[in-house]
Amino acid sequence: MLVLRRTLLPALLLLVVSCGVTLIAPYDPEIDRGCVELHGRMDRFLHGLRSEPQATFVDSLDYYDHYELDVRALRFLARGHDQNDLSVQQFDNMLASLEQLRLAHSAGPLAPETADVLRDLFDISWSAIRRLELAKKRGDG
Amino acid sequence: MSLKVSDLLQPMLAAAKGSFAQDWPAARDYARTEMDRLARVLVNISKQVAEGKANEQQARALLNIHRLTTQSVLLTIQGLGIVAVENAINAALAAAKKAVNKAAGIALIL
Repeated sequence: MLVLRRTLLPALLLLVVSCGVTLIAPYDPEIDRGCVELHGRMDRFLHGLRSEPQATFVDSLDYYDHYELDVRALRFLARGHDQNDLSVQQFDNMLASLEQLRLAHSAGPLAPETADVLRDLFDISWSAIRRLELAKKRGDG
Repeated sequence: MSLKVSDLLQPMLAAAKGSFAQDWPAARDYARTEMDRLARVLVNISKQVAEGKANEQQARALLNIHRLTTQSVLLTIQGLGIVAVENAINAALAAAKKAVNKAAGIALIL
């Protein structure tokens, strides 16, 4: 026991001190780029709805389907990293938000003011996801 | 090499405190800004409903999206906190490494 204390413990301490700790996943530039792209696409889509409120849900079906697939792709990337539960949860929230948007749109044309509110909400959501991703660049709090 | 706990503790605490001092304002400012935006959006949603611009299903969807968005913001704040803790621990460990190597007179820990 004394040998253990005198040799292994100091060695372990030296190992921790020299290696540092990691509490969250590393920064992923692909996820960062994906966030910027999908934010832009949603913003343009909702801006378009604002200008053409008579655009029906049926006209937008393909948009919603492709968008969902692309969010799922980013979620897949996020799941590939250890200690990345927070970001995975954020992508789950984004998918759920997209589903709510689909429901809102299927209930009838969206008023321009409603489209504005939705632009703000998706802007805040994508900003949140990207802000967390950028913080993973070590040293950036 | 004669290293005392106090030789390590002081520089480690100073390094951790310095690290938090850098990270905390950024997290606080982010939280403040985004909570303000969320509050404004909620006011807009209630205005939409009151003015009949959104039907019941749309209003419910907007509120659900607002809830999900708020959750995502809180997750980011949580994440910024974790990064701040990681940075502080590693700053403290770097300070400990420096102190140990100084006491040893050689680069004992690389």
